[in-house]
Order: sequence, then C-alpha cells, then structure tokens
Amino acid sequence: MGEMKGLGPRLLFDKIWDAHRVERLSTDYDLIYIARHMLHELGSDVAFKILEEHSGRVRNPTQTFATHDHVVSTKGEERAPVLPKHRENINALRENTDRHNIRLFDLNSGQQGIVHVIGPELGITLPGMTFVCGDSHTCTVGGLGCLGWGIGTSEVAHVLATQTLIKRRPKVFRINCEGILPKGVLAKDLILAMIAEFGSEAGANMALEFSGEAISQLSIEGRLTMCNLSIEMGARIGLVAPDDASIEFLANKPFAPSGKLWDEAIKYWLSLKSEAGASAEREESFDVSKIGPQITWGTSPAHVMDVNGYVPNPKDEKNTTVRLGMEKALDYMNLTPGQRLTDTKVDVVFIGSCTNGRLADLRAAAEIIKGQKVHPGVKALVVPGSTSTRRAAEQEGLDVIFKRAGFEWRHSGCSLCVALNGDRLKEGQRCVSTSNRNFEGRQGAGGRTHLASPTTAAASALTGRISDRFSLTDWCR
Amino acid sequence: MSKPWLKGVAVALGIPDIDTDTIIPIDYCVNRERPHFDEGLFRSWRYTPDNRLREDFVLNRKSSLGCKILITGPNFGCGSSREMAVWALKDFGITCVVAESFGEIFYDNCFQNEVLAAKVSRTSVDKILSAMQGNEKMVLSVDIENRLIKSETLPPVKIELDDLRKSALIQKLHPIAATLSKDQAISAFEDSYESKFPWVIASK
Ligand code: SF4
Repeated sequence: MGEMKGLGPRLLFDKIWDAHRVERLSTDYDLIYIARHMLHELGSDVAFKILEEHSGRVRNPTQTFATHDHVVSTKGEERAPVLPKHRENINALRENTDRHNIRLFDLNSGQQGIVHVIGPELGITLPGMTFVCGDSHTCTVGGLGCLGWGIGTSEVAHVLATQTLIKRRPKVFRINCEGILPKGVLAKDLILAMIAEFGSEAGANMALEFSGEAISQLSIEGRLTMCNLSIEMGARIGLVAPDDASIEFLANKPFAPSGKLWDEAIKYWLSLKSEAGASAEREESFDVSKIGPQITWGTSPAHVMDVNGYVPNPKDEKNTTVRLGMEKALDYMNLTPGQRLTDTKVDVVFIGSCTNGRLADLRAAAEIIKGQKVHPGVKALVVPGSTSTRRAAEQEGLDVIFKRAGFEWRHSGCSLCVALNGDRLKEGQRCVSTSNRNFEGRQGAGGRTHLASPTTAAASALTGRISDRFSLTDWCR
Repeated sequence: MSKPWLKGVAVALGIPDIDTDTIIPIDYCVNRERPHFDEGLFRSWRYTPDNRLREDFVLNRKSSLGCKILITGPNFGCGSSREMAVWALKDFGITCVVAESFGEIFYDNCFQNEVLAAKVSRTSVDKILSAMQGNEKMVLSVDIENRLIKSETLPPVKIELDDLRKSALIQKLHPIAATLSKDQAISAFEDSYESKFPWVIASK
C-alpha cells in the first residue's frame, strides 16, 4: 500500500494524488503539489508572518484566493466586525493579499462567502485538483472530486512559500452507499448516520471515498454536505467521483476553464473514477434505505440518534473512556438517558454554514416553513453561505418566506457556526444547528448544540421543540 | 546514557475526542502573540465563566505544576484546524501529548512546532493512566531515539513514530526551509503539470 500502483487499476484518490507528487520523501511521505489554495481572515496574518521568516515571497500568487468569512458580522450592509481586533484581521488580509498580488473576494465584491461555499461556486475548486485551506472543512470540495484538506497556519505558510506540502499518503476507506435515500431525508442525515455507524475517528489517516447509487443520485450540494462532515468522521479528505452532474454544476463558473480547455478538462475529469478491481484499505457498504432524520444529542459528532429516538444510556456502553465521554456530554447537554429529544425545548435555530448554507439547503428549509410562523420562544436565523447564494435565494423569493415566518435573513458568513462574529449562544441555550460541530462551547460558552439537517432545523423553529419534519402537520394543527 | 528528549511531570485527562475548540476556544485564538496562547488552554475547564480558577481541575492542581506531558483519550485534537491548540499547549509548557490516536490536522500541527504527539497502544495508555491514579506525581521521560516512554514504575512504552517525523524532531530543520531547497524540482514539476493540466494555472 501507499505505492504508486504502476499500470494496475487505481482508485480515484490514487489518480489525483499521483498526478500531484513532486517527489517522494520517504516510504510514506511525498512532496505534494498544491493546485489551488484559499485564505480567510482568521489567522492568515500569522501565516504571512511565518512566510516573512523564510522566503518572504509567495511563489504562485495566482493559485491562491482569499475571502472574509469567520469574523465578519452577517448583520447589516456594513458587515462591521464586533471587536476591533477582528477589524485588524480583516485589514491584515487586505494588506497581505494586496502586497502579494493575491485575489481577494472582499466584502463588497459580490463574490464573498464562506471559503468552502465559494470555492465550488466560483469554479476555483475543480475535480482532479489538490486544494488546501487553513480550515478543517476544506474536505467539503471532495463533493466535486477535488482532493481538498484542511491545514494549520504553519502549513499555510508552507504553501505560500513553496506551492507544495510535505504530506503522508493517506490510505483509502471506501463506503459504498446502497439503496435509495427515503424521500425527504437529506445528505446531512445520511452522513450523520454514517458517523454514528463508523465512529468519529474511523477515517483517521484515510481519505474517504463515498460511492454507490445513493451518492450518484445526490445533488452536488448534497455531496458537498457529505464530504464536509468527513472530518467529523476523523478523515481529513472526503471524495466523490466527478460525473455528469459535477460537470453541469461547474459549467460557466467564473474560474472554471472555458472553450477548448473546458472540453479537455471534462474528458480528464470523467476519467477519474476508481477502476474496477482497484481495492481500498477498507471497504464497507452502508444501507441508506432505512435512514430517517438524524440529530446529535451529545458533544461529539458520533453522538447521533434518530430524531424520534431516545437518548442513550452510558451504562449500556462497555468501553470506559467512551462511557466517560457520554456521561460528560449528557451532563453538559442537560439531558437524561432514555428521554425523548422531541420533548426538548429549543431557544435558537441556525440555518447556514459551509455544511448547509447552499441554495438547495435554503430551499429545503423554506419549503417547511412556507406560510408558517416561528415559535415565539425561538430566535431563528438563516445565513446564506455566500453573497451569490443570498442573491439567488432572493431572486426566488426565499428571503420573503423566511422573513414572513419570523426568521432573520442575514448576509453571508460563518455566523453562529463559530461564535466569533456577534452571533453566539448564551450559557445554557439550546440550539438546533445545520452546522457541523457540536463540541462544548463551539457556539458560545455553555451553549448546547444539536446538529441536524435544514428541514429538521426548520421544523424545530416552528414548534419550539426538537421536531421531526415528518410529524410536523400534527404539531402545527 | 544520553539525556532524554524530554523529562517531566505527566498529567492525565482520560476522556476521548477532546477537540481543539475545547483545547482553546475561538475567542482566545484571535490576535494573540506567542507565547500567550496558554491563557485560553482548556479555558472552560480551567476557569469558571466568571474567570475564577477551578482548583479541582487536573491542570490547576499543585502537583501538576510545571507539567510537560499530557496523557489523554483517543482522537485527541479532533475538529478545527486551529494551530493555536498546539501553541496553547506549548505555551503552557506541554510539549508531549500521549494518546492512542489524534485528530490528523492537530497531529501534523504538533510536528510543525516541535511538539511530540506520541501515539501509543490503547493498553499502554490504560496502563499509564491506572498507574497515575492515586499517584500524586508521575514523572515520565521520552526517548525519541528509541521511540520509548519510560518511568520508574512501568515497563517502557513504545511510541509509534515514523522516520521523517523522528528526524525532524531531532534535527530541528524547519519544513519550509527544507522544501525551499527543492525549488528546482518544484519548477520542473510545474512545467510538466502545466502542460498536462493547462486549465489549473491558465485561469489567471
Ligand atoms: S461555517 Fe463553520 S465550519 Fe464552515 S468554515 Fe465557517 S466556521 Fe468553519
């Protein structure tokens, strides 16, 4: 394993990796070429400082792009950050990108948004490429067959200086999704169910490949959502082979090739599938046909249950460390073993983030809330993942549906996913969130997060309790 | 006998899946200069919401003073890519974390900062943890050359560490400096890459 496999059948992952290997550094490490790279305002100033300690020169500025998403406010046109130190971050990114001739999608550019949303949307992250960003959810772009992974600040500096990374070749874990996802069950439910099944570290040192009929039938948005949560299964990389749907999605995107280059690119992209007979380190099949809406009850993404189910009992868990983790989580979440989550009151509902902030997600949520009212005890917000998503949604009138129902309609950014930009939970507040992390304090110290799909979030906003969208009619009557 | 790579007091946090948000909340990541990231280290576990020290938390106990090694549950450092998690540990004085497994980005970030993320078997973690129970102060030493963790009371524990990481820890050569010396190889690669995939670099 870990070898270039010569003429034998190769996996999707092998094809992309091998095409980017500059040099072999040891049995497991390669020097890997980075096709494209994105920066955001949080922490990249430190990367530029590290760069200064070395060459001080960005090797290939046209292969790096930048935007603001983490600390910008999503309230009001001016998007003013809440704290002065955040303004410093924004200005530092402006100065650094200006000095090094890096393209910045600034707040008023019309192209600003969460990195993992605008990468695919602008055609920056293309199939068959390597792509990195100083953010762990860079794996999102695997939904388009782009080999993306998140890196730390020192590695951001490494890419700026050399356009490469020293990287251990991961092994491949292929999950074949069999059956057809029940109607109304979303990609988010599918990936949460998968994390529950395989665990939060099943993908450690692996690249996940999602394949099978259920994946082919998913929209590109759905595939991006699935790959987004690869990191929550412990994998730095998630991948879906590009197909006709990917090509349709990318056609006419601003940074995708056009004309003759587009034709060449398509031919190459469609050749990237894993070949028959190529085997992965681990192969599993996963039946998707019986999955219902999923939600997390605890503080690890593996703490997942059916939205209609009962909170598990740590006493039933044999492994001591896992049991301790469960006890701590229940305590933090203020839940009792055996209780139903659907009895639980909700204070905040957040629809957005790089997981579920795309147009398809907003449409799914809008369908649930159309003509209804948000429960008076709930603060509900919708934060489109990018400025152009916001605009497209407004063209369809989704903003009106949300606002009439009592949702706040925001500008794009990370918002309540990261609690760094004016949106955060208060101590003890409970939130149904379409984002990807339910860690202690992630949405604000003492805040309690339940991860779910946009439709579960929308349903919960209406009832004021954690709710299954399928039982909604009863609730509303 | 040669000096160990590291010798110091070990502390135990035997919980699985400790994520980087918990290691350092986002508020403590913004615009802080090294070496002051330790202010945020395990903030909500070390401090009450009104900023009083929680004296019962393991890192706040007298016996943990000056600790250098953290023994913890599997999947330590999962989640966000924030390198501040490593800086927070290092600024606090912890330069070795021992666990059965790590979040991958955290693992790589450790080695960018000469912090050892020591992967050891589950039974070894369990043995160290149970030896630490009821033991006021446990001193461990790390022998990188032989990839071992040693103590006075336990048999040596094997660390899983590849050659590249090991020599980087010993040689202290910064990865950027190492790669910058390969400039020609990168340029040669770029030429052939550009002719194979002209759409990557062409869209300027
Ligand atoms: S939306 Fe959340 S997970 Fe996504 S990039 Fe922003 S902070 Fe990270």
